[in-house]
Amino acid sequence: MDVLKILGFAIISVILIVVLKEQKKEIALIMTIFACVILMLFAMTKMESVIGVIESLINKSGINKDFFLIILKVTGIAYLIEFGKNICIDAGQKAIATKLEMAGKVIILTISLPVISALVNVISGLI
Amino acid sequence: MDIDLLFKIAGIGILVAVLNQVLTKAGREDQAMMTTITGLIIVLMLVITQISNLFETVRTVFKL
Repeated sequence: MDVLKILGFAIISVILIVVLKEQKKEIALIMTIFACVILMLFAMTKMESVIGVIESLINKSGINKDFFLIILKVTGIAYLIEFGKNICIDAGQKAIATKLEMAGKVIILTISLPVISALVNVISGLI
Repeated sequence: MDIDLLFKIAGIGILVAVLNQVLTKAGREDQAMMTTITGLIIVLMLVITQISNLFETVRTVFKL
């Protein structure tokens, strides 16, 4: 049932944006941003319950929890960066979009450094 | 899924577009520019609250 809501919302916003595109490009852009924000908010509320379940599973299984937190952070950053990147591309600013993506990758790399070092320690321990 | 906000923004956009045409036809380009900017600011104010809401939700969900 939610799918129909999302679909209807997206189609209506696309139609309204096309109506406004010729006269007022900037307001059309703000409407695309608004539509993206609303759809993401909808996805976020669903995502919250999924992450709660995964977290409880991990607690039960006793696996190291901080790796899961890093994975969560990385997905969050990827989600936001992709959101901003597509809006920049929509506005016609490809250069800013690629720079934003590159910066996002660097941030993800810095966050996942402890995982890499842990991996290296494990490997060196094996050898 | 508050679609009425989307309709509000679209309404403001169309209103500003029409006003712009009327004002440019009447020869007052500067006032046309003013209405465009005010329309833009109103729409931005509406959208910014939603954007901050989104960022806050993402922050809490992904524990950033």
